[in-house]
Amino acid sequence: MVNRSIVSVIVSLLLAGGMFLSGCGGGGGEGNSTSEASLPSDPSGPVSFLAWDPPQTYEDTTPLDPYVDLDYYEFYIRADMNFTDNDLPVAQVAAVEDILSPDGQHYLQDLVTEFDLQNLLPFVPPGQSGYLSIRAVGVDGLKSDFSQPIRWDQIS
Amino acid sequence: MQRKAITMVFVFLLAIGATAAIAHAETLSWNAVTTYTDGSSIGSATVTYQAYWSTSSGTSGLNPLGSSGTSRSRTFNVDTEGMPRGQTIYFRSRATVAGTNSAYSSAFQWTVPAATPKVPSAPNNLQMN
Repeated sequence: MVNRSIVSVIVSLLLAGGMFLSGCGGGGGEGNSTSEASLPSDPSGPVSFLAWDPPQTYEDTTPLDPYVDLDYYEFYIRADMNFTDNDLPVAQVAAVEDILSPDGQHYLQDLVTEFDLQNLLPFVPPGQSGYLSIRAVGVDGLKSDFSQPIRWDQIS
Repeated sequence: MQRKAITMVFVFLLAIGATAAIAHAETLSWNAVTTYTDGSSIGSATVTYQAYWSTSSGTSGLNPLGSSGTSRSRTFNVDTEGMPRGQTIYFRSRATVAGTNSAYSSAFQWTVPAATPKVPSAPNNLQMN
């Protein structure tokens, strides 16, 4: 079970909100000044968690151990479903996190399988809806294909 | 029972990825042993084979490749067997007839393919909770 409160949110604010609506061509630089630690103080609307199943194989169908072979996930947002390699991720999260053991004596590794979308709110114009997709990045640095996109209706 | 030494007449062939159902499988195969060292025919006697691999060209440190059996090939996975990627290893085999082992075959040299980075499959079942 993943404790949402301790999900290792290693959010890399890679891009400003101008990325959201593709084709905006570099507008929206105002988001670049946002601190990595800052989050909306009063998030509006329901906040969702994005969940997924980690890959268990490589593309060649050989087994993949997500605890060992995955480095992190990348999160992408677009106004449409046409994700391409030219898109830039808006956030990253480690594929594996350390959680405190029940006895509090040591740490255990746990797979990260969800992400608090609240972390992406600064990069999405209020009221906009769009599509989310994620990619798994292996320890060798190679990225998976985009996951099947999912619609995100952000309520302003 | 007459016991004769067995002549090993091996021709090793490496078929890369020959077994489609097993990703990255390699297959080591060899010719049948049909005669004893005196040239007489083994006939219908059952011949079993055991293949080995080693990082040494000698007969020390031999690692069994699969189990003993009548098949004249062994399919294996480099990583499962613990073969060192990018390095030279040596295969040998020997036959057994009626409990008598042949000498080891001459070594067949092979370079274990270097590891190539692999692309993870995409995460799936993306959903909002």
